[in-house]
Amino acid sequence: MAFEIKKEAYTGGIKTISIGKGDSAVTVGGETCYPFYTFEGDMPNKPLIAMEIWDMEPTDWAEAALVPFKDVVADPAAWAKKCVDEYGAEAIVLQLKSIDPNDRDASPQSAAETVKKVLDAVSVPVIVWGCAAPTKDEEVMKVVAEVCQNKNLLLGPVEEKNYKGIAAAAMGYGHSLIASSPIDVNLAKQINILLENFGMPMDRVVVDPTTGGLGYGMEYSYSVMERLSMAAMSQGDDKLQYPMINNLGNEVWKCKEAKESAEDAPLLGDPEKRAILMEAVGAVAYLLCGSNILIMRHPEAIRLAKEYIKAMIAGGSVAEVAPIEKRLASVAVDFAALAPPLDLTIEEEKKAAAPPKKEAPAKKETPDKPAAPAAPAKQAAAPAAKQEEVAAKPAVAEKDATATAEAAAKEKAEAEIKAKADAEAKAKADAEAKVKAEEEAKAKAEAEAKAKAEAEKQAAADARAAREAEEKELRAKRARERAELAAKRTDEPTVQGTMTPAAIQKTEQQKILEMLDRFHKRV
Amino acid sequence: MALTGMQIFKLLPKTNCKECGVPTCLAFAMNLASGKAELDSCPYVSDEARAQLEEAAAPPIRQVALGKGVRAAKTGGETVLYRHEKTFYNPTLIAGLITADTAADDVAKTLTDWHALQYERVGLNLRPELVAVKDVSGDAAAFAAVAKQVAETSEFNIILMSEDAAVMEAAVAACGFKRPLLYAATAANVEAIGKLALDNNLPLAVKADSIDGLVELTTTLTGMGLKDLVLDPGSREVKQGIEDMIALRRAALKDGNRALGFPTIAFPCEMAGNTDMEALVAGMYISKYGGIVVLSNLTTEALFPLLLERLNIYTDPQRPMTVTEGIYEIGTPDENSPVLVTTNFALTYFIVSGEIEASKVSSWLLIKDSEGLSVLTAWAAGKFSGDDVGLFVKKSGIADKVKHTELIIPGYAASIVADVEEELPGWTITVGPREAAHLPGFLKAR
Repeated sequence: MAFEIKKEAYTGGIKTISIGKGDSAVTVGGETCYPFYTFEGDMPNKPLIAMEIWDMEPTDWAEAALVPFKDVVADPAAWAKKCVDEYGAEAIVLQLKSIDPNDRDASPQSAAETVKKVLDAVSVPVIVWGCAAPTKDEEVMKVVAEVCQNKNLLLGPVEEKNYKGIAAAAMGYGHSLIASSPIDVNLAKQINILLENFGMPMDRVVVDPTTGGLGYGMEYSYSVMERLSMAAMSQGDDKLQYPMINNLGNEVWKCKEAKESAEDAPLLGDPEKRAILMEAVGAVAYLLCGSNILIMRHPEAIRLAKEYIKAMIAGGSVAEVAPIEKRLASVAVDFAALAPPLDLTIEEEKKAAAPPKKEAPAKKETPDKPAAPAAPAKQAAAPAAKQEEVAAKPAVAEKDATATAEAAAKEKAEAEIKAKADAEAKAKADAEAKVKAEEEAKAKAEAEAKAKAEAEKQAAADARAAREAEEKELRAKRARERAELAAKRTDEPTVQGTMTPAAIQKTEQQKILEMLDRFHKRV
Repeated sequence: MALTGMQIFKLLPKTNCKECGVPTCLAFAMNLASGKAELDSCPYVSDEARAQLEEAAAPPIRQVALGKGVRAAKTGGETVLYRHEKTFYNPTLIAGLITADTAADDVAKTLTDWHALQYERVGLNLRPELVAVKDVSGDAAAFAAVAKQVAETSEFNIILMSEDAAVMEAAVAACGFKRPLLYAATAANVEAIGKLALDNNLPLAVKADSIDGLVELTTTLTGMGLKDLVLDPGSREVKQGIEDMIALRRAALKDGNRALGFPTIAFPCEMAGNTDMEALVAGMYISKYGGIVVLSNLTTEALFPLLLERLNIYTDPQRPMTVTEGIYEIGTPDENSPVLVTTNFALTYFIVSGEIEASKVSSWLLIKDSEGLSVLTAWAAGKFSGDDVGLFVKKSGIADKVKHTELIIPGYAASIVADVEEELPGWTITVGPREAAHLPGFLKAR
């Protein structure tokens, strides 16, 4: 029978949303399968890669990220134009870094002017990303929405704390929103519901699940996005069926490894290539967990990611994709000088489980061990020595069986030491005897073997009896312990009752929940 | 399929010897059934029972051990489709390719360079595991010589790539002691290569041009007695590649298809034209179900991002990543630098340390053990209380490193100020911002 792929039964899909106006509008979303699982559903709109620009000249960008835009970073409109004309940007994200109250604290009016200029300079959709200070974002977005009426900008991030103001402005002036939540499925759903109840047309909302940088918490975003996709499509949760956006470039390029020079971190090699590939590899991971709009920074990382998307949608090879075009001088690193010492040791393999088992009878001599009588039978090589051990064991076992529960442990330990010594002595003696025996006649050996077999049988029976006795004892002990524990448990509540003077005694969990409720002012 | 706890219990010695660490054999059986214990913990289980249990407990995707020495690794053994369902266990192994026609000097240089590619991160050493030695001309002696050189002069373990059983045999003789993976058995050579792998007890990769072809080959090979197989469905384009990976993982986990219950191998080196694009293709296989990826070259610029992605994707989501409690220097702090305290949740640490770094204000960052909880959760759960934080700061020895007595606590833990002050008489407790993103502004404004 030919192999058939097991298909997922989907019960929902992602909504589509359009950003931008007129000819330049772009549609994202609309999938009826997990990201790129096109063998079992449709992905009508390919993921969009939006290029990020800043509304102020960046001061802490890595050289590699700056160099493609060096001539335009002081002018957001020219910067945006360059992205579109030269680097083929399909959308522009204007990061309003200047409005950060902890930094320049630029006015809403000046931010809105910048947005307007950028909007006029390009013919692709524009996304406006705030500074993530909720109050300031609210002030600014209201003005931006008004100044750029009916341009269908994508505004965000919108949080629980500022959704009313921004959503009202978006509804009034014809824009779309980015509903943001901190890496949590339930919080993502909550902000969507808040927006819906507020009256926001939900075909104008995308979700920002919060983006972790590569090596800096990407796994959290990755899994939350997979869970969001699963909730939306496999469980058909219509409160989560929105396209997702990830502010990736900003996260990747701000981490230490993306900025370090070759002198600071020689092991990480060429700073330009390294950071570009960090962004591109991060992009692949985010595309595979369901990103619909990916915000990226470096033109080369974007080119590679776009080629990847193209091949994933349409099929075909990526063998012809050109390597990264470097803009900075290459860096040569002498890796040999950085290599740590070699460790060529190969640990001798332990023969799985065999040694511990063989050791066990000699070392432990525990009477409550049925495997032991069987072991000597198998170990035909040293029958005499083993047999002595077996003989020693039932003796210990019987002793144990008659002992009281309290003294049992102590006695057992003593008996074990004694038995061990005995066994060792006897084993030695027997080994000598064995050498002698070998010299003796065959008939005698046969007789011995017969006796041995009988002794073994006897020993096995004894051991069984001993074990039963032991188990019975253990059962009695457990019953006693259970009774004690039960008694103790019934005592406990009264003890606990006096711990605090509160009228209602709460569990640890209730206390945590209350603390959190109080903190979030939910009560 | 998997046995229940009671079925396992019947096979155990039932002695309640407690040596496995739990009080009864029944409890141990339950732990085995739920994957919380290893059968090796029981010293007395019989060989028959062991065989039976291992057979029954065999994971739907076999775990295959590759290599020997410090870079020995396992692949496969996965039990879920999505990491949040449980976790992914065995990180995608990364290999670099050396062809058999490479001169010995060049091989030596490559191996030394590749050996340098090890990155320390949150107490882990991130590094590639494998070198793939590829036969290009059918020259058995040259192939064996390179394989021998890699095996004997590097820590790397080996994938031997040749479809000619005679050529392969020579290399197995040269580097068999390192438990190389043989690549590959195909419809044309399955008998001969299969026998070679079986005789030398080595793992074997299987290559076909479709999943149907794989089923046929693995059935033949398991019939011969081979157990450690690795699958290559032959796809060399990304669209088909990811479909095959998903198909294989689903077949093994959802359909219990034993013929496909093996780890996979993928070849970005044969799919892209340069190491840059290879990195993206390899990145895809790290996300989606690649057991081993083979790159044409190991370049630090591509390898480092891939190892970061691998670290992220294969982190166990059931356990929060933590950093060790203690004093961390951000930048080059001196006796006048600010002192901040936060929790030991790795994400908290990364974000806070990153923001402090971004502020360019050298600082002392104190990390207090909060059992991997973030600030707000730790505070709510009483793991970041005023007394604890105060006591920790006292014991940390930070007082010997700075002249001032000011401590900055996270904004989310503002309510512990009084308690910390009580515990640290003479100190000024300053409440920092709630969000790490506001730290640079906060530190610069001081």
